[in-house]
Amino acid sequence: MKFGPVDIDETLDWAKWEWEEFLAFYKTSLKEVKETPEEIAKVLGVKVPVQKPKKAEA
Amino acid sequence: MTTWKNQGNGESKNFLKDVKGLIVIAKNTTQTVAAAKTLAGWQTLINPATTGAIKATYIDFERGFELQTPKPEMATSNTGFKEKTKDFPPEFTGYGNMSYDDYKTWFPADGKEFDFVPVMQDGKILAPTTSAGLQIGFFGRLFVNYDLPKAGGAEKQKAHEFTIMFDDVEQMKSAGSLKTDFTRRDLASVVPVGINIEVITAYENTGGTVVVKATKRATSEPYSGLGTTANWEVVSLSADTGGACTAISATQSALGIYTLTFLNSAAKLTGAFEIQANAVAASHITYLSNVLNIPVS
Repeated sequence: MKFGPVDIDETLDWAKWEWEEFLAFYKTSLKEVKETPEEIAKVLGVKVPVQKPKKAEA
Repeated sequence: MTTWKNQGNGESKNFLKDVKGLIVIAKNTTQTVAAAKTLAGWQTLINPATTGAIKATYIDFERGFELQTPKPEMATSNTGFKEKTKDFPPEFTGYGNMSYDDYKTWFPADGKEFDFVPVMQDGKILAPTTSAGLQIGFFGRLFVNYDLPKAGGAEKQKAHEFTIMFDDVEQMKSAGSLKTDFTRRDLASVVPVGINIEVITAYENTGGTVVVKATKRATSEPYSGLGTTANWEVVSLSADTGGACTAISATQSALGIYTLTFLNSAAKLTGAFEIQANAVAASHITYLSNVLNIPVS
């Protein structure tokens, strides 16, 4: 699956990847892509950590 | 072999044409005789759609072919009676019409067992059949020569020497010459074009990347057709339980340069591994690289 000049093997079991592992991979191998780690992770099926909603100010 | 009967003499006295090439096949690979007569039949073995399905290749012996088969043993008993007491299976030396880089790709096959089908000058093939009537190759072994380059002149043409020894003379007895619908040039042209790959930046074992350069074999012409992960396969691993080309950056593919990430799932590979590249067009492998060892420090 192409992201700019980089092709990623989408057949791998990306759902098993931890988010930190994917971020490390992104920094090393996906430096040339425009998409954010979250955008690519969603396409590949990597579990993106859910951000906790901010507490409403009193 | 069939029963001996008088069978007439043909009006033509033609010799069998010279052997000009050899199909080298994985042991015990068979196909129907009808398929063996067609280029399509051999393409399913020589350049199928996936490397895992490759079962055969073709060596061009245009540079020469010399029989080395020992003469049959003739023994005379103490009674003075002389007769043939032993036949030997064929042996020969063929001189590959290829570059030294091509020849080097055969080094790991030294002493390896294969089935062999000689290809004649006129495109006919010489092959035995199984008891089920399927075409098979002659069972035997292949040897290469690790010598230094030969001096110029005629000897130079014998540089890429293959010694082939068939192991069973009985197969010769059942072999037949099959008229094919292709020429040996057709056969040579379906063999994937050789690509050389070499490491230009070593495997980086924190990120798992390695930079590799691909050129058309024995030239410095870059090859740009390897820009997807599907073009790259991990052939063997020395320490890890798995490994694959996870990502590839092809921004410099016009120069034949690729930055490849090889991982075992998310983990970096911990031991040396081997890779091979290929390109597929119209369901046939058209380009195939050497197997490259990637050291991991």
